[in-house]
Amino acid sequence: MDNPQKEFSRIYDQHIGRIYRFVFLRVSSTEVAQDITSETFSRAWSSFIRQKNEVKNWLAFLYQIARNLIVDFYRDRDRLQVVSANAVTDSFVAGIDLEEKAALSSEMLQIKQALSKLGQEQQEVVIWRYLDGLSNKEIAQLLDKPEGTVRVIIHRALESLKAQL
Amino acid sequence: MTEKDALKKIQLLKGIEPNKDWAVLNKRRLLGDLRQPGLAEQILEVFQVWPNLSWQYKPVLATVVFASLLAGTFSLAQSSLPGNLLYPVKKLTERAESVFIAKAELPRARLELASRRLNELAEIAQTNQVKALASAINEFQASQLEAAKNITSSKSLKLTKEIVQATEKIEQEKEKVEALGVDLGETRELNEALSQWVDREIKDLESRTLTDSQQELLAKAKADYGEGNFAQALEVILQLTYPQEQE
Repeated sequence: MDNPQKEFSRIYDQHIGRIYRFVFLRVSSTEVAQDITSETFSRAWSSFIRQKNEVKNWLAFLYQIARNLIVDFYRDRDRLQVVSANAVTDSFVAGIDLEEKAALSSEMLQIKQALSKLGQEQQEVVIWRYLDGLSNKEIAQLLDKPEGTVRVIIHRALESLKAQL
Repeated sequence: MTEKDALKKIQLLKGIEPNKDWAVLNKRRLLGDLRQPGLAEQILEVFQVWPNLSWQYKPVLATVVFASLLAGTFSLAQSSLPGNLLYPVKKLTERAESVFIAKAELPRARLELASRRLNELAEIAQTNQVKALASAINEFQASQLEAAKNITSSKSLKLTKEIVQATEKIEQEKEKVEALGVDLGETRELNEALSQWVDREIKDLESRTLTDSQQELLAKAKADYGEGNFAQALEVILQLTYPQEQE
């Protein structure tokens, strides 16, 4: 590896769009999405320095970090709500912040809202399958589940979305 | 809603992209500035770290920076022309170099310097730097005078050949510069030195017993000498004196 910064810069440029979109669709704030995406790449960079070329699939690796961070984010948020319900802004509870409203068209907002009503796994498979173009096999590897199970999750997710839209 | 319509709507979400400025800033924050710093930035960096350095390292860094600046100045001076600020530095470097040249090699070295002066003159004439022209002509005249002072008969075939080549090169460059409309003035001293050398060689050869072919060559050398083509005459004399080496 001649220049680790340059090497990782290529990985960053290649995946930043997908990871950000994935995070943004799972959380409901541009700011939070930026923070989580930033932390995802920061952790990936630390691993890159430590493990050199041991990571075979960087996209899968980045998704894995992002998923864990999203889980942490919701866990922390829930804890905060228990401690002080007033500390959470109304817009945040509603699931859409003002910045997000400005960034998305009304149609996009409608789909995003519909997507956010699905379960975590269903949201993820829809994003991976229909936005990122991942195959069922790749999704199965990411979720560590059989391909057949992934097909069922996709089917149910689509049914739910159709019903809501 | 059909599955096709639902999928079409989902595709709209592909339009979600991170803010470009944020993406660039975030990468820079993570990986640092990947752009290679320029020379000026590198020098500035030295001054930025200076206050944080421990006193033991300061003299070392100061020496390194000073040496680098000096080396940079000398290297930049090599492409300077008469009239430029750094030209005296170039001449100083040449003078320092000549200290390390063996005495026997000096005539060739001086002729090469004269040739270099002619090159500078040509560059000045081509780029129409009128103000620097007089200074460049003076530099050439001084260098040819210095070369003339150092020209002496050499018994070494290699050195004689080198002198002949350097002299021929000067002749060619003179023609080139004069073709640009520059009046170089007389190069009497250099011609005089070469003429005396050829004269000595001819007299020496005349006192020897020569074969018919050698006589022919001597006659040719005399003819060149008579026409003022001293470098050419020297070349013929070389053929005569060292026939094996010429083949």
